[in-house]
Amino acid sequence: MIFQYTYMQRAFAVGILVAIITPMIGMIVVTKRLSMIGDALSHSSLAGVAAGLLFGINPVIGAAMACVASALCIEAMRKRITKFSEMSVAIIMSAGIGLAGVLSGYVKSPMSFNSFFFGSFVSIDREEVWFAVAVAALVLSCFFLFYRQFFYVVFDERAARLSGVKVGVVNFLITMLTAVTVSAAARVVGALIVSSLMVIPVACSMQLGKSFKATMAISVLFSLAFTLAGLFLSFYVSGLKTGGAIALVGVLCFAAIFAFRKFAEKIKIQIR
Amino acid sequence: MNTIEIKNLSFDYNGLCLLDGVSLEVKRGELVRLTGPNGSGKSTLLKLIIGELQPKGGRIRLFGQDISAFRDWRKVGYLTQNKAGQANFPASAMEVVMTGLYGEKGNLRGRALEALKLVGMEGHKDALIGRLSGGQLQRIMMARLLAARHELLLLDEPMAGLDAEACEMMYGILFRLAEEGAACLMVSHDISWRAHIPRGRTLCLEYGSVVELGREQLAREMENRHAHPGRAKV
Ligand SMILES: Nc1ncnc2c1ncn2[C@@H]1O[C@H](COP(=O)(O)OP(=O)(O)OP(=O)(O)O)[C@@H](O)[C@H]1O
Ligand SMILES: [Mg+2]
Repeated sequence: MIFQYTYMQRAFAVGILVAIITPMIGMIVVTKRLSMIGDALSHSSLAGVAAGLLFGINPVIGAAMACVASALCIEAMRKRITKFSEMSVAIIMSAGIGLAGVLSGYVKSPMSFNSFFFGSFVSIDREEVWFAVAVAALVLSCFFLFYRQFFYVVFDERAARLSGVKVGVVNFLITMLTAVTVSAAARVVGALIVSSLMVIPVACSMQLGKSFKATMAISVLFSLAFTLAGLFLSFYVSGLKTGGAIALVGVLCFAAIFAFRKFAEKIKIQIR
Repeated sequence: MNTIEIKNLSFDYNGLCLLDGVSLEVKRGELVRLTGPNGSGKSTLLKLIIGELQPKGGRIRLFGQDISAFRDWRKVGYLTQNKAGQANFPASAMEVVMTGLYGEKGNLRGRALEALKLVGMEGHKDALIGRLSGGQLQRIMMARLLAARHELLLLDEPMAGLDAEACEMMYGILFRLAEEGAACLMVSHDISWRAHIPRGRTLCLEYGSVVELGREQLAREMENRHAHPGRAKV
């Protein structure tokens, strides 16, 4: 049985937590037109992992620190380059992947570094489970407490400021939550896949949701489904990587919804 | 006390002088219409008033306070001209109107519904705003301002994209708000309504400064416009 192994229990625990919070953050970054931020942060997290392995720090802590640092850089740059703020994301992504590439050349155990690319559930240790629990608790409580502020700032930053929302603080909080979420997710699903888990469930739910809240809720359901499917598949199909499976299930699901909607529209037109 | 008091305001974008000695006042209960050619700086002026841009010289006072010291921004409602950022946002009309009631207590849904009724959009309260037409979205954005009951409304082309009936309705709403004591500064290219409506003033921003258009000027202007549609020069 799948759950008789401690490592599978851990993988499912971390996977479920990550699957709940990642699309919530994703909903915010997608609607802020910052879909690529997940990519930038997760590539930087690889630099943190490499640095961690090199200097004997827990790589997940290294990843978290690198994520937070690059998120801060992106925020700072976005304030200065206002017109094409997406560029700041691309620049940080390049810096992150460049640093990761250089540092990885000096890491003694390339296998453990590689496990961060596509995620690995076999090697999640106890601290990493607690880290994921703490991050999930933080993200969920922030959404519970500040949902209205988040929505308002994402929808119309200017009006939010006039209404007395502390826009700077809210944006900073969003950036920090994104950073810790990416670093927690990078462990199970893999640094290269985090961004998919952030964007694809949202892309799916946006085709169905009738409001912001509903879209967010549906995206969490999608993300849970993809993650569980990915975990089961990679357990039973030998050689299948968890992160890759999660991403592919997501993309297939998106394509199916898209095709179904087009099909439904066609039928409606023909009936008329 | 004037709700807005602007004295000798000047502003430039990277050396390009846009506003040069603009002075204007808007009182409580007054509806002031601001017109002027494209690119004359009307939207810029509104952004200066909400403190998003910093003036080069002159001063702006809101409710008797210099804007650098002004904190009561809740009293101020602003409608932007450019709605591209909001147009495809995955939110329902109700969610959007509810943002206008941020920080308030009581029956908020009731107030939001009331505002949607005012603009004739209660039937679309659960619609995704991305699926609405341009004019419908404009009405939703107005409903958000109406729900908030601001004391000062800064509206950048609120009538853009509205059909004749909706324009009339919107003017009706604005006049009622003015009667209740709100001040309103609205940018509009359509000054023909002024002829039928006895209240309110019309200002024109051109070549960096503001002049008030008198009754005769407006009448002449309208005739010119009818004579050369599409080539109106104020
Ligand atoms: N961010 C900016 N940077 C530089 N120049 C700008 C910027 N925004 C506007 N401008 C320039 O300032 C001038 C005034 O712009 P503004 O948007 O205030 O005009 P407007 O009177 O509202 O015009 P319209 O009737 O077309 O809305 C324009 O010539 C424009 O090119
Ligand atoms: Mg304008």
